[in-house]
Amino acid sequence: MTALEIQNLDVSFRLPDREAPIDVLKGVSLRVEEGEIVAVVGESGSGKTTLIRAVTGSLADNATFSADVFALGDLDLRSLSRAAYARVRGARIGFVPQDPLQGLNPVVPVGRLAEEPLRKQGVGRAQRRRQVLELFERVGLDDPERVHRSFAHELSGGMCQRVLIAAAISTRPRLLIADEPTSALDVTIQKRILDLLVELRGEIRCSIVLVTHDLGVAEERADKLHVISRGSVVESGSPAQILASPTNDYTKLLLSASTIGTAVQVAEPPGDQDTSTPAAVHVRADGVSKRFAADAQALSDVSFAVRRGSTLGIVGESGSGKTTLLRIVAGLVDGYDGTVSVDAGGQLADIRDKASHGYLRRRTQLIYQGSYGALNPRLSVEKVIEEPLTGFRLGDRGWRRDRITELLDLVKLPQETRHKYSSELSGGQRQRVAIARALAAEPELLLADEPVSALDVTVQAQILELFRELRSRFNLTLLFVSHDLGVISEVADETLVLLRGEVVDSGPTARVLRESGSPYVRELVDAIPGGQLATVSS
Amino acid sequence: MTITSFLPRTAFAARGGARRRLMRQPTFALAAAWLALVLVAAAAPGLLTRYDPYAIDEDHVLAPMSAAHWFGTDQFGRDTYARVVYGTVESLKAAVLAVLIGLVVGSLIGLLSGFVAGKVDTAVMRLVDTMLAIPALILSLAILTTLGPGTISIGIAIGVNSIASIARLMRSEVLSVKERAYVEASRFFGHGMWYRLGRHVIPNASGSVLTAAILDIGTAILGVASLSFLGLGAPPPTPEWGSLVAEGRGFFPTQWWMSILPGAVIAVSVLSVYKVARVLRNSRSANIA
Repeated sequence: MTALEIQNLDVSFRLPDREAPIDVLKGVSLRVEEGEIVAVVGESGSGKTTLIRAVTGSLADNATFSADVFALGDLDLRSLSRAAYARVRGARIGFVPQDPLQGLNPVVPVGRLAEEPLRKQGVGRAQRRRQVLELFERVGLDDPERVHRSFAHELSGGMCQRVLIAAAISTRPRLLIADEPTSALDVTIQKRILDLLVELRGEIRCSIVLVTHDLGVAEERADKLHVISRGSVVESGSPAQILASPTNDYTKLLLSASTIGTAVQVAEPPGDQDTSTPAAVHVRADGVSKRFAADAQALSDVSFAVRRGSTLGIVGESGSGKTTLLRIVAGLVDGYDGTVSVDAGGQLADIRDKASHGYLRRRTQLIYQGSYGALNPRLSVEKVIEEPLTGFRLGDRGWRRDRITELLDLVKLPQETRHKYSSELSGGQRQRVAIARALAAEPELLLADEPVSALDVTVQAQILELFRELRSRFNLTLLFVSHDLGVISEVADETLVLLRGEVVDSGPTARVLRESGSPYVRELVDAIPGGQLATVSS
Repeated sequence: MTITSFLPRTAFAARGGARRRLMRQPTFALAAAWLALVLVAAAAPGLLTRYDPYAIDEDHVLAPMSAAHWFGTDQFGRDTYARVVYGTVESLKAAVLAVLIGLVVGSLIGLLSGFVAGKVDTAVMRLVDTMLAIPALILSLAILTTLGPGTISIGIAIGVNSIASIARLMRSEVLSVKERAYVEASRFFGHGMWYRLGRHVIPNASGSVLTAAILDIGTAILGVASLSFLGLGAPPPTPEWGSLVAEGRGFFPTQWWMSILPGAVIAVSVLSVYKVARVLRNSRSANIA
């Protein structure tokens, strides 16, 4: 029996400042059989959120919507009033949102929030509580009683997501919609949450629509796959079939981008490295420790050495201390133990040594996590890139103009970009501007803090490519922080794995990925989504 | 650096299309037109009336509303409409002065407090708390008693009241802006504190402070009118919106329009300021945040 059937769905939005409505979904057809997991894969802006909103009946008021068939089981959803839809949503459609913390009201205990769908169904208080406690246990929450009275901020992201899943399945819905259920979570937790969804499907016999930007996540778990791009389904079929022979160009692009991280199988250290004359050490950390509050140890006894022109990947989950380590090297954090030394014109100098500051400041650049906050919204791209040039008093006006032209070419941005503001740029373009700015004063050491984690996969691949290209062109030393071992494996010569402020493993990337003795590293490697992709696509 | 560079970029540097769209909102267009009229009245009152606001006409004392005298005349036969028009400049002068005082002094205090932080911040903010604890009217009256009545005094007396709230707003904006990545990044580009302040912190922090200040113009017009209603403004016979309402008070049972019409002018002006300020604020939050 069909759980959800959509044929030829169009959704468009009317905006006050535009005459013509914007078509967001064009002729989308989708069929979800009972007990099936159907993945909808697309990047931001592809229309996947609009599709979800259409199915859950929560489109904005300025949306117009038409479909030939739009039915949940034998219920035609098109004719439902808002109130009727609300009842269907609670009882027959379960929803797991993207960001678990935003999905939970912070001032109400999560237990009461999870009871909400049952309360709407008129289930009595004691019964509700018992059912929710059972569900909490079922979704793998330890100590359900305690979780029940906790507030969202007292739980981790993974636990919050489990609470939301429990709430979503509490009414035994026929259809569960999961909107990027794991993209706000750490990788090892991602895997567990996805496994949980697959397990529950069998248990309560519901169908699942899994919306994701990650082809890897989709192919490992879905029975059927739909690739959506610019509002249309461009490819659908079984994952194996699509991945083995993608017909659509966009799917191919997505697929090649998703093999980020599957380099586990392919990456070898660059062959041109002459090991007989190792390059001089550029950055060295010796026994770096840092504690913030009384009992919060951010880093303990971290040491590493990075040779000039090579890349050190620093990987760890949130709270592992990876950003703190990077900021210490950047000279932004004081009050740590141990020493960090950076090559300042031929010899290593302690970065706390004031004499080296003048030299290092210009030659060390930091690239930030969120490219949005990294650019002043009131300055044009030109002014943004010019900042280091004026700051270090390089050249005159004409020279600076030429230099900006050169830098835009370098990061492959069109010259028209120079007069735009950051709000007019895409995430990838903003990150390119940030990179151009960092390169403007010709640094030797680049510190990158999660530079691609806010980007779509295809854009990630492009930015990583840019990093690789620039690094070899300018012989840059790169410290690259990421929570994603897949990304790290794409760029790093050596990798340092942090867990709760301690080094779990470090060494050449290929060795760490393949042969690490640490169970934690193994878990990280296994959690790289799409581990199968490489074998399928190669 | 011009004032507009601090203002919502899209509201003022709006492309033709955006501006036309704003004007298509009838209430916004009406409010903007009214404020334009008020500015004309302040700059060149002679354009809006042919009467002399001081000319006494004993033959037309307390005349009702008519084609000749739109708002009627007062007990000396002076044309009330002409007095409202000529009174605009004094009322507006005081209101703008009040807002400027609040804006400049408040912003500086907030900037100092937010940017320097630490003990300075604590000290300044406790001072601001104290200012907020004093009832506005009492503070204004105390200042007016010290300075003596007059337009400038009223402006100062009203302006002082908005210092504390502007300072708080500025401080909170500065606190949030100075933590943004681009401010910190600026250190890596060889720039010092003053550059960070002038290029990043002030332009990004002052947007909402300026929209709040524009909103304050409305409140200031009301405050100024209240004080001049109490007779603390420019001495008679100089017309002022508030004092015109006060003058008509004695004739209210028979010549209600003497008070009501100047009062309506005040009300419409305040509403227009609020409307325009709100539109500016919304276009700002839609485009910057």
